[in-house]
Amino acid sequence: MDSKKPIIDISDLTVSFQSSNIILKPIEKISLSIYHGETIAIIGESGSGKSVLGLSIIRLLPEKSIINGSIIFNGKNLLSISEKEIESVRGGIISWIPQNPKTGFNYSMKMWKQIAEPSVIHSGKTWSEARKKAISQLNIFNIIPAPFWAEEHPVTYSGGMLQRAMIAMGTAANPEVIIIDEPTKGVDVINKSEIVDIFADLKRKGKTLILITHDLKVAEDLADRIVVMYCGQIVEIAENNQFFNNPRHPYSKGLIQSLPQNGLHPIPGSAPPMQIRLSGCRFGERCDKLNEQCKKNIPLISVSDDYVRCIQYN
Amino acid sequence: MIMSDAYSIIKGTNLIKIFKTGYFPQKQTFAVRGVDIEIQPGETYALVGESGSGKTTLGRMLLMLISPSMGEIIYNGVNITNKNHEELGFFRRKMQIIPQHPEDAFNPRWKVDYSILEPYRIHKGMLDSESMGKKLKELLQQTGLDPEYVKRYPHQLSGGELQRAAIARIIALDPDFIVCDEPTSMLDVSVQASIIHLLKDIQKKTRVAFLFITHDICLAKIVGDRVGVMYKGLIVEEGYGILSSPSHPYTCSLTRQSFSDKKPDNVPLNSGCQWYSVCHKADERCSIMPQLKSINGKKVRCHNPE
Repeated sequence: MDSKKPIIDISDLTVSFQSSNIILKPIEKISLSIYHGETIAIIGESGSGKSVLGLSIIRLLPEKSIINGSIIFNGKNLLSISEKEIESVRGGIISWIPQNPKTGFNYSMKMWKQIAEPSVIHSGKTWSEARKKAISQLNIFNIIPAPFWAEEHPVTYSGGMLQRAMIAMGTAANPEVIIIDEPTKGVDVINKSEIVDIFADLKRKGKTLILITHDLKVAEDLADRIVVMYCGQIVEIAENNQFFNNPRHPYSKGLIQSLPQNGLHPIPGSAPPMQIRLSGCRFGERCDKLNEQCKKNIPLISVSDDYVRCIQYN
Repeated sequence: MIMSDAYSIIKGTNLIKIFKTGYFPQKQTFAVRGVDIEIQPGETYALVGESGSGKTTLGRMLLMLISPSMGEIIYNGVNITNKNHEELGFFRRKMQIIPQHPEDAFNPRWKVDYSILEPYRIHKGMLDSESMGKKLKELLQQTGLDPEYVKRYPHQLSGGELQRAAIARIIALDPDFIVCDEPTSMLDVSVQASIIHLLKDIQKKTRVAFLFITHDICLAKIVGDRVGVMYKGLIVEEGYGILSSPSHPYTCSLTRQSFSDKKPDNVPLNSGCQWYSVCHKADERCSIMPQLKSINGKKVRCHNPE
C-alpha cells in the first residue's frame, strides 16, 4: 500500500432481490474502502453474500435486482454510469475471474481466441497482435508448449490448466483491479500452491486483488486485509496478522477454531437462511457471549485501523 | 504392521487398474499400479495425494464399483473380486461411499427424505414400510438434520445439509466400511468441522472403518489413524504419524508445501522411481523402482528415505 487512497470506495451498498412475495437482501449496508495495490480477502460461508458483493462491483447482477448505495471508482459511481461506460471498465480495468473454470469458457472456441478477446475489445489490438499476446500469456501461466495449447479447445485442458487459462484470460487486458471468485475450490495442494504463486506475482506487479474465498490458508498467504462476511453484513475487517492471531469477532474466532490444525471445533448451529434476518446481532444465536445488549443493532465499530461488529470484541 | 485377514474388514492385494481408451491406437492409463491396503474395523485410513494419483480409483475398486484389472479384494475374509452383480448385493449393503459432490448424488426430482429411504426400497426385507417413518426420524436425529428440511428438494438445501443427508442415507444400512471421497472439499471450514465430527461420532458408535480420501494434509493429519500417501498410482509411504515425520521425499514436499518449479518428468512406468526427476536425494539406484520397505514401523517406497 503505497498511498492511502482508496481505488474502490463502497458505501452503504445494499442489494435486494424481489421475488413474488418476499424481498431477499443478500448484502446489506456494506461499506468498504479498497486501497490501491492491496490484496483483500473476502471470507465467509456460502450464502454470506461474498459473490454478490464481487458481482455488484462490475455490475453483473441480474437486471431485476435493486441496488442501493454507491461504488466509487476513479471518481465515478459504477452503479450510475451508462452501460457503455461500465462495459469499458468491466474486463478492461476491473476484471472478474469466475468461480468454476469448467463453465467459464466457450467450449466451441479455440483457447487463444478466448484469451485474446479482452485485448481486442478493451485495448484496441488487432486479432493477430492479440493472438501473439495470448500465446505469451499462456507461456507466463505455464501452459506449455503455448503455441500448441493455443490452438486447442478447452475440453482438452486439465482442471489446473483451465484455472490458469482463466487467470490468463482475466488478466489479458492488463486490468488494474482483479476480482477472483473462489480460485482454489476443490483444487489439490500442488495446483493450489501454483495458483497462490500466480496471484502473489500479480500482487508484486502492483495489481489490486479482491479475493473471494473460503479457503483461509489462501487468504492468509495472500491478503493484506481480511474482510469477514456473515449473513450479508461485514462483521470484521482486520489486518492479516491481527485476524489470524487474534480475531476479534466471535464468528471469526469460530472460523479459525474450525481449521483442522486448530482442532476442528465447529461453530454450533448454522447460518439462518436469507429470508430470515434476525434483529440485533445476526450471529447472536450461535454465540456463547449472547446477552441483552446484543439484541440491539450493532454498528461496525472502529478499532485502531480495523473494524468489528461486536460490542464485546475484547 | 501386517494383520491377519480376520482383523481387517477390507483388504486389497496387489490391486492394479488399467483404463483403456481409444480403439486404434489404444491408449492405456495405469491409474493404480499395484497397491496393497488393509483397513481394520473402527479405523480411519486417510489416503492423501494430488489429483490424478489414483486415490478415487483405489477407493472405488475396494467397493467393487470398478473391477480391478488385477489383484484381489477381500471383505471380512470373503473374496469378492469375482462375484457377479447379484452376489455383490449383500456386500454393497455393507460398503458405502460418501460422494465429493453431494448435490450430484441426489435425484433432483425426489424429495430428500425419499432419497434417504431409497436403500430400504432397494434392499427389500430389511424394513417394512410402517417402520420407515420411525427409522427416518432416527437417521435424521443421528445426523443432525432438521425433519422440516428433508421434505424439500435437493436444490433447496445447502451443501452441508445435503452432505448430512447423504450420510444419513449411507448409515441407513449399517455399513462396516465407508469410503469418504473428499467429503468436505466443497464445504466451508466450519461446516467441514461439523461433518468430520459427525463422521467420528458414527464411527465411535458403530466401529465402521473409513477410507478417508483427501488432498488436505492438515485434515488428513487430524482425521486419519493411519495415513497412506499415493503418488502416480502407487503408495509411496504408509503408517502412523507419517505426515508429522515424513520419510519419503514426496511426502516431505507435500507436508512442507514446497514444490520445485520444475515439473516431474513423465518417466516411463517401468523405469524406476516416478519422483526421481525432481528429487534432491536421487542417485543411480533410483532408476530401479524401490519396493515398499518397512522402516521404523512404517512403510516407505524409497532407496534414500529421510
